[in-house]
Amino acid sequence: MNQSILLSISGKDRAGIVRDVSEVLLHAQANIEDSSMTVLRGRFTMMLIVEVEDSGLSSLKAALAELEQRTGLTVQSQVLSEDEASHIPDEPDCVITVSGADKPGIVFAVTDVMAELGVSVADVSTRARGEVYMMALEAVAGDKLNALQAKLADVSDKLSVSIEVHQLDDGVM
Amino acid sequence: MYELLTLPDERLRQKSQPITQFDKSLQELSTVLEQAMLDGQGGVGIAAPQLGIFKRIVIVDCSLGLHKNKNHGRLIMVNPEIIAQDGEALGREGCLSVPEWVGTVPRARRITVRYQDLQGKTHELSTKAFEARVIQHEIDHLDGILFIDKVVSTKDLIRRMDT
Ligand SMILES: [Zn+2]
Repeated sequence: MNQSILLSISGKDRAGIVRDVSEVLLHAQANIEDSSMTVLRGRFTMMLIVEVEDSGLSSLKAALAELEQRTGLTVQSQVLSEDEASHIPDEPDCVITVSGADKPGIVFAVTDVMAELGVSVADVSTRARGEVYMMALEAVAGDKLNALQAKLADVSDKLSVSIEVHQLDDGVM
Repeated sequence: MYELLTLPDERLRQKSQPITQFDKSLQELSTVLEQAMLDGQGGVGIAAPQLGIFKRIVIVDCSLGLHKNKNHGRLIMVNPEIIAQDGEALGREGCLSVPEWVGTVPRARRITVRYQDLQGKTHELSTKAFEARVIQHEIDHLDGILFIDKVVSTKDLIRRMDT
């Protein structure tokens, strides 16, 4: 049997972090499945789902503790339930982009109307640079798309930021 | 019978050659392509190199799409070439040759494509939205380009907004 483990790792950005982490995982015979790694300002952050055999779980944990000690990275691990590990999220069917003058509450205002409609978020990135705030968000809107568009138009007026909703058509080509 | 090439088959990266003979064998090739497109689950288009035939012919049929969309029905395009394009639209693409992967890809919203039919007669077609996307995806195949080369993340979208 395999276990799926979610690792959240971050540390001061430098060359070689991904190498250090993947080296430890390789030696512990943990396979990297899905992952998302990015640098946010001066911190390198990663989230990974790794798979390891039941029998290798304790040596993986020991290896990660050693990694923390040696490199100063912060490592958190959580064992996923079988349900969580095998769940494939719905594909997004729209992309929402937001840009405008930075002010408090943009992310909240946008995601609040989404949550009200039961529209789930698949992926978000935001960036604040100087006076400008930008957000891009992938969502699963389904038949709520029109309602979402209307509510986001209100948010756009209220916060005077520009919000665009791009409906994604899809097909196998 | 032809086999559908799927990643990581390197042949998908090969550039296809222009078609110069408009004969019976071209019609046969078109029939084979049509069949392969219909066999592919949810397929709305196919390009010859996906079957390992490196000739510039594609078939597009957006009436087979899961969502209602404006389209010109079945289009058989020999030596297709985009001669004008404008605007940009985001869409989710999947590919018979890249099973189980989908990604968000920016494409021109409107295009004009010049192509020949099976008899060699030249046509020009202007189209937009989904059909324009599928045609761009198929023509990319003729040049060894796959949609995964063009996928954008939310991070990329922010970068693009910034410029
Ligand atoms: Zn394709």
